[in-house]
Amino acid sequence: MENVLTIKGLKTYYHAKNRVVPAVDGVDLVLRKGEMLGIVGESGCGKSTVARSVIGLIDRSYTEIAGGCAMFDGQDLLHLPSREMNRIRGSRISMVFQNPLTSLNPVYTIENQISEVLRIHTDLDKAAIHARCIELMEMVGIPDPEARLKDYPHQLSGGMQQRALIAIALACNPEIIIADEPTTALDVTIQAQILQLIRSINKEYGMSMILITHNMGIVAQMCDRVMVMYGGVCVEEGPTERIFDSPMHPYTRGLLKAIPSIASDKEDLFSIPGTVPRFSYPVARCRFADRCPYSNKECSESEPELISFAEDCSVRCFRTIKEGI
Amino acid sequence: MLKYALKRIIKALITIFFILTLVFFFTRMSGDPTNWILPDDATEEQRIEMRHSLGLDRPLHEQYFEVMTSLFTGNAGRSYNYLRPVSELYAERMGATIRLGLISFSLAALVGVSLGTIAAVKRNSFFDRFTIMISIAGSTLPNFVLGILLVFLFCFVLRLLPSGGASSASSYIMPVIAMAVGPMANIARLTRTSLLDVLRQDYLDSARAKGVSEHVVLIKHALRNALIPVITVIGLQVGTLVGGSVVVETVFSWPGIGSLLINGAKMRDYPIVIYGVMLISVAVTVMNTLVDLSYSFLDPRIRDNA
Repeated sequence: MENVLTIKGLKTYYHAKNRVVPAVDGVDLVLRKGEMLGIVGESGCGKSTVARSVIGLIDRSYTEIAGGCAMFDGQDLLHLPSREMNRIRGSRISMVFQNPLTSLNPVYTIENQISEVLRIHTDLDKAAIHARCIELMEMVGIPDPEARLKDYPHQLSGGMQQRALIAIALACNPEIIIADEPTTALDVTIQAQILQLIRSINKEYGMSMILITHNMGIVAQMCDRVMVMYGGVCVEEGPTERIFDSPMHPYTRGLLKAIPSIASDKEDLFSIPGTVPRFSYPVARCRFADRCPYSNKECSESEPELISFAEDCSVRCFRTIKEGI
Repeated sequence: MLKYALKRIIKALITIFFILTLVFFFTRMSGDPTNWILPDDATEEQRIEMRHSLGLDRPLHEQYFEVMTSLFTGNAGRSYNYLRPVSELYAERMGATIRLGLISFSLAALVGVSLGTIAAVKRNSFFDRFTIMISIAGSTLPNFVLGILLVFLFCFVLRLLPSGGASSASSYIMPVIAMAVGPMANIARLTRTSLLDVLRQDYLDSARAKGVSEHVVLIKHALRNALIPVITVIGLQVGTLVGGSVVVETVFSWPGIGSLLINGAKMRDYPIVIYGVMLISVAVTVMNTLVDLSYSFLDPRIRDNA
């Protein structure tokens, strides 16, 4: 399958007061045509930063792209002039954000906000833009589109707001849609509907998608392949089935164990002890060592490499590599 | 919406009514106008005669009733000193005040919003710090002090500008600065704060993700939201500006309604004082009502609740 996006060695560093935080520290990623790739990990592990770096939504006043490239259609997105980047954003790569209410501008109607992206990237006339807006509203399953287009964001429910945002992302038939925790702010019942919508868009229109989430359940339901991130690096990568059947990295195992199950009769829910530490550059140790049940001296003295052990499968752990797969 | 507007207008009328009532009683308590109308050596008979001809010897409630009805029917009486209808006197001088007010107001709004916007976008820069400093100085310095300082500097030391009057374009410079600096400082400060808050909002990133260029993000998406609270303050500054005009016109001998009102008050010219206060309070309440109503046009979230 053809690769639509190839990220190599992406490094995005935040410059805090006295130190440099390597939010993303050398991530390789390939997105193939029509696939749904999951990026999973806890808050603060760098998954959103990967997406934001690619699409150029990072605040350059304190964030630095310290290395790497993101090749899309022969161009390196990380070093594209802003004018060129604006031409790609919204038309060929679009994004769906986490919080639908705050992601819509409160003072403009839904129609205004959907049509804006069409006005920028297409030369459709007014009537054609209106017709396209109606069509998009129907595609994302908003009933009575004519009336809803005249509404302001606060007049819609959270689920409808997220559908409107998805309509905006779909408007120009992009090749890639990046969804950054698209259901985190929604009710569980609405979550399922939105996920179904995202899945059907992926299947019907063959759009390549990156789904960023901290929820392993969503990954299992939605994604073809998964990349597990921790501390700004990829710790394990592979097809969803393989990751769920035989997780290699202790962190991945922890995440899987943390999915609550009705079948288990345990009273307490499992959680990985500790929180994601804030790393300072340079990091010369296994980033997960402090929370890992198997860590030893080696883990805190040098950083393991990401080792590929089968097609599409790789893991970053001394122990797994030594003990064999 | 219509009901809300109607409610606001009725409230405004009640406010004006109370202000006029207060001013009526204050003027009657302020002293005998005949001291200023008649020469110092006038006899007591002449004074009684004068009070009678002005209707000031009638019972207070009769006077009050007459003044109020005449104001609301448009006939506001004659000035004791100028011996002409006060509405005429004010009409003649209204133009000068409105010109001065409009110029100062536009300058304050334009410069204030621009300074605040640049300061917010270039946060923590030298320009930002400079703007904060200027706006604190500007909003704490009373306009008459600023006016006197300006006269001292530009008129007596540098001899560049006329000290008063409205004879040429250059005579506008100092009064406009004296009136505009305070409101401008407040507008700049609020624009900065409000915009800094909006610049953190998620919807700006959604706009960027749509491919909207950075200056359109700033103007269409950020400023449109940031200016909602600023518009209120701009509206309320009109009140400050009208009040300020009374003082500034006196400092610069500006031939407007402010100086007429002050002179009227000095000479206990009751009709002038009452009519002047009415004009100013109508202007301020109309402006406040407009600001209130404009809210719902600016912010669709308020439209539904109103």
